[in-house]
Amino acid sequence: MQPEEYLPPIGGGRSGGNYVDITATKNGAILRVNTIDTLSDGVTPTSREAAAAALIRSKIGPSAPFLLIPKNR
Amino acid sequence: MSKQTHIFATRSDLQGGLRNFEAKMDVKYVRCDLYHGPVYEQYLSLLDWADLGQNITGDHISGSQFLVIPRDLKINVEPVPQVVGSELDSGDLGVSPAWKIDSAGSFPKHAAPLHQYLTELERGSGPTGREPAGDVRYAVSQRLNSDSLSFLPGGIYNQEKVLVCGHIGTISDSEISRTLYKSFVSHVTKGFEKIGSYRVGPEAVRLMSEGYRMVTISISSPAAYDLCRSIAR
Repeated sequence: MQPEEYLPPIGGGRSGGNYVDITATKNGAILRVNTIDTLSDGVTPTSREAAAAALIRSKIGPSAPFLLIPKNR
Repeated sequence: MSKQTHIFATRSDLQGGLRNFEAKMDVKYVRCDLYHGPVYEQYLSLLDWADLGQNITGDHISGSQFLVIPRDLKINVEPVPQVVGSELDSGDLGVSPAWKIDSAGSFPKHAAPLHQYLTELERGSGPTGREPAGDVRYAVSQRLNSDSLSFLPGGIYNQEKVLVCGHIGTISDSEISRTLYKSFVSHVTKGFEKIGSYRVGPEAVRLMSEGYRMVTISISSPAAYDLCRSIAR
């Protein structure tokens, strides 16, 4: 258990980084899970969350497992 | 409120700071892991750990990690009973809708229950992916050891021209943990150069200028996310 995983922006700069809510490792495999805000239907991610998810995907590479679950309302 | 410092360091970058820290504070280093029994790996000096300065995973989050804790404190080990995957279905979290983000960063049209994705992941992790139900593993982490900090040193990956970042951090609000954190960061990163949001040791700076990849996330991440002096400033 350690502080939230920090994913830096391009070049390792100071602003534009992302934090992942849960990063779990098992036998070398890494699963990342973020909780997200949704629209009033409860299942459509807000555009802000969708953009952040796409950015995290670009940072962790195409094959690393990455899930989103809605925040409790 | 958690605190975290990100570093790039070789064994030689860490030696002096660790020696000074250990001369000032009586600590022990306990390796964070999920053990098969309640016996854990421990060092009175991290300089005795042969792999200091090396990273074998190529990833900033899954390399070797240690609790740094006052020597006279007892380590609390957490028994973790292993369960079968189907038990995930019964909890509230397991039925929560989830989206699996595809390789291009897109969402599937419909959410699926979280347990479905987790089961799929466990199946994909091969025969060692699941422990037999009923077994107990023993976790060493900051969760039950709040008067500590966590140290993930990072280092040179697989003797390649790749340096993976490390982290010094704490999730604890205990005064002992905060004091340890402050002292550890101050000693270990003394003489390090601040580049972007990272503190980089002298030898790591030299390796960076020689063209080593400075991996901030993973070797499978695009190189654009490596630490780069001209962008990070």
